[in-house]
Amino acid sequence: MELELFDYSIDELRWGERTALTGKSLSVHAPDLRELLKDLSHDIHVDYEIARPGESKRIVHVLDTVLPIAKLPGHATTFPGFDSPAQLVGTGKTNRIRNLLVTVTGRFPNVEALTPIEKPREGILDMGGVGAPFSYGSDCFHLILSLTPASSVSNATFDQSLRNMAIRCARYLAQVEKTNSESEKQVISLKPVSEHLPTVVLIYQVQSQLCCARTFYYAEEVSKTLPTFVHPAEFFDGAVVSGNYKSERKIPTSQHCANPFIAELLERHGKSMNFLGAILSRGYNDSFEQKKKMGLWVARLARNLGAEGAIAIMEGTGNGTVDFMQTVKACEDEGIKTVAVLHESNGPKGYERPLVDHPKEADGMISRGNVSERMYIPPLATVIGGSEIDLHLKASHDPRLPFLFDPTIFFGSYGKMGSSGFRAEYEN
Amino acid sequence: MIKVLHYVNQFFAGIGGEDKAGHEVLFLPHAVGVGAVIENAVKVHPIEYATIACGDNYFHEEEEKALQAIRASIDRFQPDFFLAGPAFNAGRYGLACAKLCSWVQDNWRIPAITGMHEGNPGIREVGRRLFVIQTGSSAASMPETLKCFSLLIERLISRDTKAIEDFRAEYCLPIPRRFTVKTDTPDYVRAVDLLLAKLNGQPYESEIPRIEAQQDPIPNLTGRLKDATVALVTEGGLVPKGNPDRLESSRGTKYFKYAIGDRDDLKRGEFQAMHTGYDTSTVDEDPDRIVPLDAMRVLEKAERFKKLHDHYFVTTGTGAMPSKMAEIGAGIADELAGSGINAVILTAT
Repeated sequence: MELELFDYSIDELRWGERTALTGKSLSVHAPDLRELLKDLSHDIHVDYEIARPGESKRIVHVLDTVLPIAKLPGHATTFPGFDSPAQLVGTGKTNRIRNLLVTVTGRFPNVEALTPIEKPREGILDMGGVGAPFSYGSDCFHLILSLTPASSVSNATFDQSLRNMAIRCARYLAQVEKTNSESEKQVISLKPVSEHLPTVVLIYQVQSQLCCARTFYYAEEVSKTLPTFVHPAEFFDGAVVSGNYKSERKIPTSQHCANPFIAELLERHGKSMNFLGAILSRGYNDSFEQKKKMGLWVARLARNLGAEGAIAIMEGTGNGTVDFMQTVKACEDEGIKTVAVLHESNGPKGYERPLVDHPKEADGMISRGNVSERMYIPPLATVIGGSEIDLHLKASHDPRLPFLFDPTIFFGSYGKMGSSGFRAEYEN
Repeated sequence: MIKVLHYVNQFFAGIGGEDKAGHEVLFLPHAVGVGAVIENAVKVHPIEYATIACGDNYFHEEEEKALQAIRASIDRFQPDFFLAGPAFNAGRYGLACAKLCSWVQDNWRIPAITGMHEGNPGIREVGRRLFVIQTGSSAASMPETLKCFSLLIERLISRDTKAIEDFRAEYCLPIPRRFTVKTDTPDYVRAVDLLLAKLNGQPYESEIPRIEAQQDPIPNLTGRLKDATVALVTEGGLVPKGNPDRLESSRGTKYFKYAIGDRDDLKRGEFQAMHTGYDTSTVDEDPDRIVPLDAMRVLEKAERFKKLHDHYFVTTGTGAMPSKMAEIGAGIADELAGSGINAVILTAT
C-alpha cells in the first residue's frame, strides 16, 4: 500500500475576491464557502473568521479542527463515508495543505438535553501568549466556521452537520486552484526493511462511547468495532475522524490525519526499526472485564502482526486509562515491550498520585506534564467564537479577562503538551 | 520603594490568644511584632511595611470573607512581596499561611514567603515556587527564622536569581511534588527513544513513577447481618431530577444524602445521574441500577438484614483529586457512624 502525498504549505491566509492558492498565499472568498455549505447549514448561522499563528487571538468553543486533504480526481474521497460513500483510502494521490486547519466552533443548541457525559467541554485555542504551547493548532493558520444553531436544530443534527461542514470545507480548500504553488511530495508506505530491525506497532486507543464522545473509522463508530489494523496511509487520508467534544483530551480530526507519532515512526522506519502500522482500539468500555478483553485483543493482534515492541497512545483520561493500562499489561504479558504516553494529574499542589491506574507492567511511561497544575491565563487582544466561556460546568467566565485555570481549558491540550515537550518532574 | 505585606494570626499581631481566634481581618499600615524585626533587619532599603492580622478560626470558618477582605487590602496596598507566618508547627496557622501564600502568588504573581516546620499540615497547601523557610517546631527557632526571612527579602530586592535559588536550596523545606517542566524533546521522540532502549536491552527509565494507591481493606461485619442496619452509598452521582443541590458532574467537592425511607423503588424520571465519567443512560433509565433500592427492599422484607437506612449518600467520583475524595469519604463515614449504621453497600462506576 502506498500513498503519494502532495504537501502544500501557506504563509498567508486572507479574504479575497476568489478562493485560490497563489504561491504560498491562500485567499478565500467567503461567498464560495457559503455556497459550498448551503445545503448543510439549514438553521445554522455561520460566521467565517481567520486566525494566524502568533496572533493575539483566542478562539473559544472549539469543537474540532480538520486538515485540508483531498484526493486527486479519479480516486476515492478523503474522510471516507462522510458526505460521500465509503471507499478504501490510503492509496493513490492526495493533496494536503499542512499548516491550515478548518476550525469549527459553537455551542450545541440544546445543551440542557445532553447527559453529563455528552456535554461538550469548553476548549479555547490561544494563538499566542502563554496558552499557545498548550493549544493544539496554535502553530497553524485557521479558517474558522463559527456556528450558531437555531434552537429548532437537534443536538444530533448539529453534531452531524458540523462534521460534514468542516470536512466538505477541508476537501474544497485542498482542491483550490493553485498558481505557482509548489508541493513537497512524500510517499507514505511501509517498505520492506532489514529483518534485523526490531518490529514496532503503534497502539492507538481512542475515546468512543456515545454521541459527542466518539470516534469514527470509515464513518463507523469505533465503539462498534473490534481492535483493528490500520495502515498509516489510511490515517493520512482521513479514515479516522473525531466526533469527540471532550475538548482538552480529544485527538482532533486533523491530528488523526497528521499524527506526530505516526510521522515519527515512519521517519524511523528502515533506520532503527521496522514499523508495522497501527492498531486502532477504543477505551471507556463499560466494565472491567470488557476493558481487560480489549487489552487482550490488542495484544493478540500485535503478536500476530509480529510486533516485538509497541508505542501506546490514548485519547481520554480517568476511565479510559484503565482500558489503556490493561492493554499495556496484556502486551507486556505477551512479551511485547511497550512504551505508553500519558498526561499526569498531580493536582494543583503537585502531590497527588500521577495516574489513576498504573500496573507494574507499565514500566516505560512518557509524561506529558501535570494537567491539573494551575496557570495564570492573561487575555489576548481578540476573542473569536463567543463572549463567555464555560469553566467546565462550574462557572462561566468572560474570555477577555485574565483567569486562573489548569491546562484542561485548552483545546487538544493533552496531546499538544506532549508535542510541546512538556513533562512532569519532581520539584522541591 | 519596596512594599511588603505580612500576614500574621491574632496571637502574633498581639490581639490575643485562643479567645481572639475568631477575630476578623484587620489591615495595619505598619509592621507588627515579628514584622518589626524583619523591617528593622532590611531597613537599609526603602521599605513600606504593612500587616494583615486575622484570627486562626476566622480564617478557616469564614475563608471566603477573609479572602475577600485580604484581596481588597492587596489591591489597595499593591505589595511587591507577601509574607506569612512563620507558623512553626501550628496547624491552623500553617494552613492559613500556605493557602494564602499560594493564593497571592497565583493571583498577583509576586513572591510569597512563609515559614513552617516539616510536620505542619500546611505543607499540603503549598503551591509551586513558594518559599517555605524551614523552621523548628516551636517559636524557640524564631530568631534564626526571622534572619532567614530578612536574608531572602534582601536577595529578592537584589534580583540575584542565583542567590535566590541558592537560598531556596539551603533554607527552604524540600517538599517533593510533581509539576510541569519544558524539555527540548517532544513526547513522540522520547517515546520512540525509550522503546528502542527497551528493545535493545539498554537501561531505560520511566518518566512517571509508579505510586500504588492506598489500599483500604474492606472491614468485616462485626455483628450478625440479620441485626444490621445497612446504608446505600454511591459515587455514581445519582440525584433527584433537576439536581436541586447542584452536585458537580465532575471534579466533585460535595456529597449529599437523599431520603428513600418512603420508597421501594427509584423511578425513572425522578432521579438522574450527574457524572461525566461513565455512560449514565442505563442509570437514567433505571436509577436502581446504581442505588439498588428495589433489590434491598426485597432483601429487607426477607429479613436478610434488619433495616435499610432511610437516606442514601452520593458524590461524584470522577475528575476529582484522590485527596478530595478521601475527605468526602471520611465525611460520609462520620455521618454513617453517627447514625448507628452497621454496614454499607458502596456502588461505584
